[in-house]
Amino acid sequence: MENSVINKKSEPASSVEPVLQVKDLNLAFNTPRGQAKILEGVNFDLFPREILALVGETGSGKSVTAKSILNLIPERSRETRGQVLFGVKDLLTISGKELGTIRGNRISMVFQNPQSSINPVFTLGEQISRLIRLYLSAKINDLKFKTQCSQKQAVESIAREKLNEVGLTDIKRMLKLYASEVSGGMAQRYRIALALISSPEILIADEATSALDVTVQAHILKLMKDLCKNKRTAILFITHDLGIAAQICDRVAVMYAGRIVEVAETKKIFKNPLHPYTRGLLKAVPKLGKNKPLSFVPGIIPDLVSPPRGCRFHSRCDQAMDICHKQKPESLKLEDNHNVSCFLYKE
Amino acid sequence: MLLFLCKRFVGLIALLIALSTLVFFFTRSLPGDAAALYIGGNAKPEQIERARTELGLDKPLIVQYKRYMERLLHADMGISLRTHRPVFKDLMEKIPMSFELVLWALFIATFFGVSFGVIAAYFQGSLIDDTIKGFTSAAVSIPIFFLALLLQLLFFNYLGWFPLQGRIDSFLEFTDPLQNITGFSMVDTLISGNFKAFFNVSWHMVLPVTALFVGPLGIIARLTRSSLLDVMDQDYIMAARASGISERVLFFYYGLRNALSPVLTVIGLSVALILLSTFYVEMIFNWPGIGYYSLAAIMSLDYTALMGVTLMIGTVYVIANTIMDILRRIIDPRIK
Ligand SMILES: Nc1ncnc2c1ncn2[C@@H]1O[C@H](COP(=O)(O)OP(=O)(O)OP(=O)(O)O)[C@@H](O)[C@H]1O
Ligand code: SF4
Ligand SMILES: [Mg+2]
Repeated sequence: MENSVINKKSEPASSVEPVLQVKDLNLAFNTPRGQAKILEGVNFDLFPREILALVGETGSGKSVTAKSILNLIPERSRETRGQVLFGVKDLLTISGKELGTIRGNRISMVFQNPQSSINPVFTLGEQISRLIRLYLSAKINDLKFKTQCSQKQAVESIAREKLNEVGLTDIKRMLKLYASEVSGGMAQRYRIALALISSPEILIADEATSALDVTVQAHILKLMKDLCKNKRTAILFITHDLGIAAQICDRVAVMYAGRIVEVAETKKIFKNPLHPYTRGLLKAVPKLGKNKPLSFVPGIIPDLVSPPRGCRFHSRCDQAMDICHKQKPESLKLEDNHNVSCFLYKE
Repeated sequence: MLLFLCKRFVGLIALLIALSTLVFFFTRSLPGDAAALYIGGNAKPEQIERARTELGLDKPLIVQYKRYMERLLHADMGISLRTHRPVFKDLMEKIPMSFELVLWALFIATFFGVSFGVIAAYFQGSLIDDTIKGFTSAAVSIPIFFLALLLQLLFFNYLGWFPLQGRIDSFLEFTDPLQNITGFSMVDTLISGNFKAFFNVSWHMVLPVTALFVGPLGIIARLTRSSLLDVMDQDYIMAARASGISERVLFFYYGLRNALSPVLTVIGLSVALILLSTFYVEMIFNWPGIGYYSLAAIMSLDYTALMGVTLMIGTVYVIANTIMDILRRIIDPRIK
């Protein structure tokens, strides 16, 4: 395991500008039972060329965070506060038109549920062609000029190339299929290919390898690592699988009940986890094997319609103190850029 | 697709057999002596007996049933007790007149229903949406006969814009009479170059067609709106939005096609609704079509005619739904 931790970053994180800064992101959904405060002050930075893992048990708010970054959650049902800074632009406040030039183009996303994120009544070919025409028109013209082929042929050959990259074969047939006719693994690779068409600066991958078998998964993980290295793409890698996080991620952010409770370099967090929740997670995964579920920490996530006062983890924490019931721990910056939100580390 | 059509065809035959059997035994259990009705009032007993033999009503029920089914195979639905003409011939004459109304109503209800639904969904929550919502709520809740009378009151009595009833002004029947080519009066007048009659006939159709399309239009518009809004909340739309596809393409191209499948089903059902509505509308507007014919048949217990009408409506209903199913298969590959 030790040598599978790849720490390729030469520059210390603090000396470069982050490509994306999530600042004090709060999100509440209006539900019939009242407001569910799903995210409470989420903070993290994403740097160029890094892969940041976002881990946490089911329902902790990982997908909601990802969707909020691209401002995708319908406005009528929610309340949002905070900022998502992409350069100087706050993605939560810029106009829809401006957002349209960023979504899919400079920041793209692979959704958690690959099959339901493909339109069921259009063929896979129709959907990938649209994106190729949207983002690669120069390449299409180039190809048309070079090989004297039609627009359609050019688009198809680019589609073939893009789908080959994610390890898909028999593409001519695949382009004619519908979402319901392909396996989860194929759908997932197809969605990854779509997300990469525009060569985005940021890729948000929400459980993007969960439906893949081991060899295909290894292929995709390598693809992602190459992206970071060669194209300077930054990846927010959301996963349940700490083993994968250890393999390819530079840093790990641990989320619990709508807060990031600990962020550190991968090596550090595995060697020296600080937050009691992180410790529980790591203990729950005895050998960093394959696809071990995360939910082995005793207890369940609290009801966020009436969240607990103080630290949201206190009912499950075996080191909880008096203060933990009353106050919210703020994020502490320790040495080596190790951040943790817990009263145990307050001087 | 071919297999599907074959299945549908077999289904249609089975339905018609079941329907005709049901109708046969049901009408026979109705009160009233068919032979007496056939002869008319004040008949002598021996006359009635002769009519009974003539109509085959003296035979056991099961024999009658067999004969009835055999005849059906030759498109022979028996003799109407009221008009004393073959029912099949009556129907063939009346069907085009009604279908002229029904098809117009269906076309308008579909076209404007879908358009209004799409517009309302696109401007969800705006004044336009509210206006359409108000209009369609009224449209689906107003009883059809009331609407028909209201239209007459307003557009004939007060405004005098449209004729009260009938197919054509009676003086035109002498100067420029309708020629019966297809039975569709608008088509016939156009073919025969009888433009005066064409405009007159069209004018007469406006109010009955309006009475027929308002309800289905409301239903189709409401369903289109809710189906579209539902689709726009799906993961695949959010994913497409995340990949930078413009809102307009998302809505009018990706979304609409997904939303249309339930709408097509309802359009199929609207055919049945409109057909039934012709019963009232043709009566109120004195329109000599199937609805009028059926109502008259009901009034005079003309069971042979009723059987014919029932079979015809059943057939039309199945055909309409089959067409809608085919369209749904074309736009939605998930339907298997
Ligand atoms: N549209 C919504 N309305 C109300 N509540 C929602 C909505 N979307 C998500 N939630 C709630 O937000 C919480 C976080 O959901 P989210 O999908 O982000 O979890 P997750 O960390 O991605 O979990 P998983 O690992 O299962 O993917 C859940 O409790 C969920 O029920
Ligand atoms: S703040 Fe208190 S309750 Fe929360 S994790 Fe730390 S010790 Fe446990
Ligand atoms: Mg999720």
